[in-house]
Amino acid sequence: MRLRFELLGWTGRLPARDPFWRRIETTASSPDRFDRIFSLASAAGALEEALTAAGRPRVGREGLMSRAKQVVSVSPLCHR
Amino acid sequence: MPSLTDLQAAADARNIAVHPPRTVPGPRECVAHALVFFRAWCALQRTFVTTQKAAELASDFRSLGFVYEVFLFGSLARGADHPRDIDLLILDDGELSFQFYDYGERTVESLLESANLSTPVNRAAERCAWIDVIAVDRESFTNDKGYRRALAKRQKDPLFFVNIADGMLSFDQRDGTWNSKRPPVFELLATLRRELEEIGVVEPPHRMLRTAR
Repeated sequence: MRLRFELLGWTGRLPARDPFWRRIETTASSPDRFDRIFSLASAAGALEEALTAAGRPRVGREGLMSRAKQVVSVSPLCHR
Repeated sequence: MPSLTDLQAAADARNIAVHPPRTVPGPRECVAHALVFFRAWCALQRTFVTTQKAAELASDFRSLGFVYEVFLFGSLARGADHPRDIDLLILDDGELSFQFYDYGERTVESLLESANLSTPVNRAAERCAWIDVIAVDRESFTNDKGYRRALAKRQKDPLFFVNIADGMLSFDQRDGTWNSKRPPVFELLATLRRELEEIGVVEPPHRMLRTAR
């Protein structure tokens, strides 16, 4: 569960121009716990969409991680 | 792409947060998890937003009888390091261009549907804002100043057609590739853009991109 901030070039900000991700950043850092729930759920939902667009649609009740692992194993842009 | 360990931690945090009793990480940890999701999303974006994928889409549009030409413009056409999306301009016989002349924010989604190109992949890419399509009536755009004026007025950027002309690529259906051949009207607009750059009225495209970031 250890987060490797140093490897991510952690600046405390999402380097996003996109309004959606800017909203995620705002709600993620909110003191309101429901804002933070919304941010995590929406960010995961956006990744689900991205996986579908990348050709790895959801099958049945398959979770995000099993789809992500498959993409990581075939994409040259991804590393373990 | 973030490591699978970081992604698993972010997915676990999401699962624990959305299901009762809803244990939610603090703001700092939450932003870190969101950053992990964002980085994974960006890695997938780079696999989708490519000239090859744009060519596949262009070919699909060209296979429709009423689409005459497809152009690629924007950051991907200019060869930017991190293009945001696939920007396509299609010239048709009016079938799509007039139908979606004034259709608000759902234009791309509806346009894909009308063109029978609303596949799960395209729909997801559209929701990720990785595809943007503008349909224009070729005959009116070539010959009718009033139509061009009306189209330009509808864009958020008043110099939209001037800005997209430079670096615009044309799709060649025969070999499925992009080339720099453009219709005379876009040649004129590209020349105009370079002249505006020279006198300092507009910035070069790569500087505009950096400013936008």
